[in-house]
Amino acid sequence: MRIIQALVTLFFVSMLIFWLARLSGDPLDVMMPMEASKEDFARARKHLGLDKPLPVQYVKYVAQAVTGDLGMSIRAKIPVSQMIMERLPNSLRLAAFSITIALLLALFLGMAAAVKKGTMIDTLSRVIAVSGMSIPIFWLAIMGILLFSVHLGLLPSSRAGGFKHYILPAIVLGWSFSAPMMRMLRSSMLEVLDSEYVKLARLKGVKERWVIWWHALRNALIPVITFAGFYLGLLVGGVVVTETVFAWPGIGLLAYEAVVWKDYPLIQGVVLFITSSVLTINLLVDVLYAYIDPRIRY
Amino acid sequence: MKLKTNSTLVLKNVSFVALLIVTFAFATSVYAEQPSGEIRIALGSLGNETMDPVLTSNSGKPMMTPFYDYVIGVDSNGKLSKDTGVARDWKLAPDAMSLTIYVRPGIKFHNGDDLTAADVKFSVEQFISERCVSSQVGQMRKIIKSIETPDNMTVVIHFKKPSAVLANFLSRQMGVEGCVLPKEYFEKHGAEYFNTHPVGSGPFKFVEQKTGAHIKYEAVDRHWLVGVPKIKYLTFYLVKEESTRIAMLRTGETDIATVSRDRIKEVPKHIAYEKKSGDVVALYVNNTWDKNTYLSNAKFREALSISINREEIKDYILDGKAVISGSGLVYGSYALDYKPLPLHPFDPERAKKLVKEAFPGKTPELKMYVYPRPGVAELQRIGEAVTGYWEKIGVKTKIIPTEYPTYRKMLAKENSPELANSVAAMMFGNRLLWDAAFNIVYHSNGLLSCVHDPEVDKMIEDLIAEKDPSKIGPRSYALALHLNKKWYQIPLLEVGGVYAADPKKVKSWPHLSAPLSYDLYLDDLYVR
Repeated sequence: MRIIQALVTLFFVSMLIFWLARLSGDPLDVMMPMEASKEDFARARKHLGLDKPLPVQYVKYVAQAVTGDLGMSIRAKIPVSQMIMERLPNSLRLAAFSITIALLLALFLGMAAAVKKGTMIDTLSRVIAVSGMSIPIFWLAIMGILLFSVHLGLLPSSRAGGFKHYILPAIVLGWSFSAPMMRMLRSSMLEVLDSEYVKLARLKGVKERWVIWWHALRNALIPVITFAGFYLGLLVGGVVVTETVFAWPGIGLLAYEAVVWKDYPLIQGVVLFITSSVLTINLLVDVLYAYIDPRIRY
Repeated sequence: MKLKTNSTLVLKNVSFVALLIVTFAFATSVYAEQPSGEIRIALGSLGNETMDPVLTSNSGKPMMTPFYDYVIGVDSNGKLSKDTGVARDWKLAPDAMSLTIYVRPGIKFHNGDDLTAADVKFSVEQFISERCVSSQVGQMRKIIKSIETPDNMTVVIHFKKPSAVLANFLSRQMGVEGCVLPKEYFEKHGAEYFNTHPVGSGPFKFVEQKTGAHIKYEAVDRHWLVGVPKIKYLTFYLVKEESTRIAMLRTGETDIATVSRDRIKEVPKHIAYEKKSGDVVALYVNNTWDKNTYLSNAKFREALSISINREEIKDYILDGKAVISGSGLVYGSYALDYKPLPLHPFDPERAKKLVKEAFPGKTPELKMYVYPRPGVAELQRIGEAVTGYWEKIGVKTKIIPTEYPTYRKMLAKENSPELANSVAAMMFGNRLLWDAAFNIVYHSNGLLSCVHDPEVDKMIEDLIAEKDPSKIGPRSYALALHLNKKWYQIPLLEVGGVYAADPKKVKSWPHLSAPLSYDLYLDDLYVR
């Protein structure tokens, strides 16, 4: 059922993005030289198949897409699927690093804040969370580059590469994404720690560490996992600002370039890919729910 | 006998030492001939990020020049040269209806194929094909009728109408239209494969391209013109964010980067190389033929121009890194007797008087369209400064930020009402313009015409029909002078990019400002 829902969503997204992309403007206005005449425009339009009626273009696009052919980038003349696959590893790896950092930060700070409620640790955790949410990523990224790359010379400033290249963008994204998860975990943990079954566990003499890590955390994690899944989808789909500042050749930068160049096939391809990623990850999160909380059944 | 033995011994020793010296000299010369190191260049744009020049505009040229040879060569001063291109000679027919190109023998593509007349013919045909989006494609289509190769090393291009400029179009003075593609390889593998596995004949061959990230080249063993390049690798990074480019310079992650004029101070240890003769920033006066507008009045147009303190704009907005221009277009290639036009004077008092004379008791109101262009981030600030000068002479101006495609649509529409009483702060590329911008911007039938003047039309038509290349420069000059006399254009400044470079890697870059359109003349960095 979920898979059918996902397919229907994909179909509607494909239709929506096809029409919305065309509202963003004409790629020929960006591509064609200033000297181009009306005849040049007409010739280029015909060559790209943009002279055909929109429904015809849409049917052709869908017919190709179901066979896995997302078309050819108008600007780079490279197959869209190839462009996405070239960037995907960079986005996936960055997403994995970032979500790991975000989850670790959220887990430790959220739990510490909940367990040590009202103490200095709680205040500090909340300050870190609020900072992560309120500092603009753009500024944080540039400050990170200035401090760790330019002044301390510890990390590369930008571009994809070895392990070191992931640290700065992953920390920037991880911190920023950890903040809401941390706050969510804190309140969820506080609620769970106050519940009857935790009190019972304590009364039965279960060690506090065991109570927190096994009984409380497992239940408090459910909303956090939902959030993490949502963020992971966003991360795989790319994070435009972070990828721009760090010159990170990922899906987000590709989407940005596609919009700037009004490259219809690329816009459509990237949006379809991002939608598919979010839908797939949400499906996986649903499966994970059932594992974490055996009460959940589909 | 003993003497003989000694002399033999001495002879042997001398021979041995001589052999050692020769071997050492040979070894050092061979070593000195090897390319070494890498130059990394971080740019805000890599054009269309394609390796096929047919699919890129002028903005992709810096990545094409190290990789492809051009049909017609140029020297470092931008003049057409018979020594530096694929053509060892070329001849324009007396009626200017054909161009014969004689291909230089001995040039090889990176895959080992010989470069012949068939490759030149194929390349030129590609640049007028349906798939081409290069900047001069429209003009080349208007000129070229057919191409033939009477023998393996001769190409004859026949024209639809007389033209004295095709050799310039096929040279490095212009965009990418002169790049020579390998016919056999291209046809065997197809355009899509070629785009990702390109083969050229320039001093660098392809290593890899990651779209959105970089293009990397490696020096060829020996290039017919350059010999053995100085550097082994040449890499172009795509880094859109300027702060990141500056950080990369400071951390040594790149050797060269484009930096805006006002931020060049952030990299004091780097040398700022300035491309002086770049593009022209000017105000284009719309709908001057519309008698219902202020801008149809020549006195008023003069007032607008002479009220602007260009020196002040140059110093305070562009940090002195610009040249005041007397022309709204770089009206002709430097190679064709380019002569700077007299500058428009700065005389605010006379300007005030002219406004009063033209429109007594009125406060003229104008609109100024400003849109971002790569290379001149300061365009809007320049526009704001101009409105300040105009305010002082009693002209109110409203700035309207827009995008080029939107503005272009307005221009292309006949009598667009939004254009009445408006000017546009624009930037035109430095290129050969007789059949391009002159015709498009100033001819009554021009695609983006802002002037309807029979005298100007006639001058443009005569210029386009000129068959003698030596007369094109003077004709262009006379036309540009005439446009100034009628105050049809308000030129401001010639600006180019600023490139910060690591002094250890880039010791000199003397021809960065060579009069070659959109060209960084990277040859300075890799030619021994």
